[in-house]
Amino acid sequence: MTWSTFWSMGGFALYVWPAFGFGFLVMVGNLVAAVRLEKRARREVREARETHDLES
Amino acid sequence: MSGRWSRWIHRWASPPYFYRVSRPWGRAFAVVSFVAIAIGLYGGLWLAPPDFQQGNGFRIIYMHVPSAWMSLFIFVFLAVCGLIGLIWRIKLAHAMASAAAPIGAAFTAITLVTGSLWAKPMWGTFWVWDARLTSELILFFLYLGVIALSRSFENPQTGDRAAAILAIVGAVDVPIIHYSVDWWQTLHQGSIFRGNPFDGHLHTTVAPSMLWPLLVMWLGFMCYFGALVLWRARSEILLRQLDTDWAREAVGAP
Repeated sequence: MTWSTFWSMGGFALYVWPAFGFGFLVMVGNLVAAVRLEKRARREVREARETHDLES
Repeated sequence: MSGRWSRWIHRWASPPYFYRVSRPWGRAFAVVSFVAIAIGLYGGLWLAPPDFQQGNGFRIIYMHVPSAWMSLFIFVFLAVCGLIGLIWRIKLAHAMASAAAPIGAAFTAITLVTGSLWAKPMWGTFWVWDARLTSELILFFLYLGVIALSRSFENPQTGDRAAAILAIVGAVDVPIIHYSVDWWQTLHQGSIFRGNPFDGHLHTTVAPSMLWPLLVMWLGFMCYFGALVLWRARSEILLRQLDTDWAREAVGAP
């Protein structure tokens, strides 16, 4: 395969590249969501601790 | 259940133990996933020869097919976690299901979108109400239902149980998707693998030069799922055990 065939995908570039682009965009989005979920979990554990300290 | 197996399950079901041990496992899965996806992409987009009918348009299968396999596998995973959570009341099972559902929904969305992008040049349309496509779309709605149900109740345990029941009942869609191409006249191609893997009669018509990148991509997606589900489950467990000493120690709270 040559570089020009690779980029043009033999005339199917309009379909092949958006398919891979969308796939990896969603997969990266999942990673971002996991980071945000972890931050939220850690924050809520700390807040629960602070609430517990205030009440006692 | 043997004593050794039972001890293994109960040790892993312990939230503090799982939280501690799952981190290195997640990292190992992430490394294998990255390497496998890189090799699979190189094989699928560069090394594999063009299809004699579809030309280079066939390369969409390296994203579409592993995603489709993952969408089915993860829903079965949800149903098994739901069963374990309902029968043995293991909280970790519900946390794993809660962690896995958005990942499964994402893979199903990828399957539907990449399938449509493949269908346009090959069939002349982005969508047909074919048995395979429709049953996969239903799977996507089932994932959304599981996610919505698990978050719809003030009591998280009620949400976990409701989502588990929907996952178990909804799992009937998995064999329907798999066999839809055999049971009905469909526009969608038949399964890549045919036969029974357990009696040694599994066979495929895909050429080895096109098949190996597909299997490597699937390995990468499986490891991506492994890494992500462990990561998300660790957070889900923290959210379910906010007031415990081990959770405070785990996040370094005083």
